[in-house]
Amino acid sequence: MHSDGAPEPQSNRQSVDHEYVSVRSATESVLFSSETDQEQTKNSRRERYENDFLATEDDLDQIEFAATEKGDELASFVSETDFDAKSVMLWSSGVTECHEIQLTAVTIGEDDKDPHLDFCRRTRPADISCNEDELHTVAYAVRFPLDGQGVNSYGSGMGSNCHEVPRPPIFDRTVTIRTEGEQ
Amino acid sequence: MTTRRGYLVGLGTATVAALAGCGALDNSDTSEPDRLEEAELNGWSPTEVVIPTGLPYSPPDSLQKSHEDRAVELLETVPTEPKIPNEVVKQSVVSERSWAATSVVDGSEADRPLIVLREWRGIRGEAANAYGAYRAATGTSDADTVASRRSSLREAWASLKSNLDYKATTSVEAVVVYGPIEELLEDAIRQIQPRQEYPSPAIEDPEQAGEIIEAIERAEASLDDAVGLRRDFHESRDNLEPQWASLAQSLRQIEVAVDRTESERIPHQEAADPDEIFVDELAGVEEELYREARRSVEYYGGQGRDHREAGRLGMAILGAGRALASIAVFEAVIEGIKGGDFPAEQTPKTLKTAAQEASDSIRKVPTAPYPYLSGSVLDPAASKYGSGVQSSGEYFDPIRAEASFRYASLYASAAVEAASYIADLIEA
Repeated sequence: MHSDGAPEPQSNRQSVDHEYVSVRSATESVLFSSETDQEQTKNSRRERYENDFLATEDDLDQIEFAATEKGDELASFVSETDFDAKSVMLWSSGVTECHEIQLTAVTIGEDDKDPHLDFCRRTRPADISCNEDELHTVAYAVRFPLDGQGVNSYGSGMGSNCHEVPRPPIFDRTVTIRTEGEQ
Repeated sequence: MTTRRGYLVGLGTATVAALAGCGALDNSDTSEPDRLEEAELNGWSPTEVVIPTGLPYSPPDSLQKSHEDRAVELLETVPTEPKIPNEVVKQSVVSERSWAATSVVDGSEADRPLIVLREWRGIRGEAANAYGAYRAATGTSDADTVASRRSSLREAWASLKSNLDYKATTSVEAVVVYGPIEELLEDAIRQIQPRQEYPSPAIEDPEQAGEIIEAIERAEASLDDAVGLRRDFHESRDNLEPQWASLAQSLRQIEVAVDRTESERIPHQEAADPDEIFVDELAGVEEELYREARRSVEYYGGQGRDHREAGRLGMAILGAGRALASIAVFEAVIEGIKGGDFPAEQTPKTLKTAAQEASDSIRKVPTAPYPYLSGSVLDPAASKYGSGVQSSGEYFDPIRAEASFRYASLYASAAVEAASYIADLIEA
């Protein structure tokens, strides 16, 4: 399980403290699903895409995790969530054997508090033997510090550049004028 | 000597008169002109123009040869079929290597020596990219080399910059010789300063490793050229005298001149709105030409002071020349549109005439009183002529093509006048 600080938010979004787990599988095309058929075969990157937001325990009941070590890892992380105070976003996608997907930002809308994940795709280290025609599946489970009850929509984005240097925060320190005699 | 006022008045008249030669037609009709079709040009293409050099001496081939040798040396260490387990990384290294190897064989087809060198520095950089990426991909980290090369290049840069005494036979000659050397130093320091960290471990990101090695190689290539050009120039002349103090002094006057010219000849921001200046709405070639002329004034107007404050006297003076020339072009364009000097409707003939006049105008530059200073200020005309050629063929956009040729034509005439005017101020 990972716990990250605050990456760069978009202008109308704010970063939030979060925890996550990520898994990668060369053999399972589906690591979790909100559908009932767990045995389906998904052959393309697009077919392996799945994005669900879990605001309550009931939402969790709608999800089925693969009955494998990787599926159990995701399921165990999600089931440890206190849904009275927190919520979870599940995200999965296909990725070629030679690439990996990194989580770059976990944010909520400044006004609507809607959750959002940002990822980037990069080439894996040169010494990893791989072929671009082989497809793997990656999945993330990210725990948000909000109860999720008022969430209207949620989403995710993917960038091709994992080297982007985050912009520095705006200088927001203030000074106050002291009146005479004030310590 | 040409007086300032003489320059201001004379230039506007001369350039607008040149335009009028294209045929002054009634342009009161503001309806959208019919678009010129490619077939109407019957396979015509603009004349090839050799852009006059701004360099008053010919650098020997050894500079370009050393870039070529270094590129070959770097590529020789990268196998054509590298053993890299990650197929994507392997393909990327193979492509970088193949691209660089092709570039080495093709070389540069540019006409001016400074552009030829720039292209060769680029080829050397491509080879370094393949070299750096290959080494990282096969487990060799260049982190220490990167740090030590950056440090030694920075020392070499500082030493070269502080010892630049602007030795030349005249101050005007110093501008055209040392302006490009300053530009090379500028390129070098930009590449030396790290923008990203060398990856650790290198094998995790060969692409980034390649880019960093390329930047360092380009910095070294720029410094090599700066040193080489200065050395070759010194060897080509006797009686060289330091011109630094004289240039610094002239630059103050030139800056005042640019400021005054700008405030007297360029309408303020709001007043520059075409709706405020012209009775009829602009369209076609006129609209494109006006937009380009205005954009160039803004672009070239803001550069001089930064160069002076960074001690780049030659670049500051050349920048002032480009600013003045673009002001004169802007004014000529406004007057030309107001006076109905541009053809109202574009035809194959107007496009061909505009191209011919642009090439004639550029070809005349070497016969100007200050051919090298004019040639050094000429860059915007050269690039506009190139845009005109591309827009006539590859990206068929006849309106943009004609506007580009007309801009190039006006600018080449203006560059000659601006060079004379600046030379007068330097020599005063």
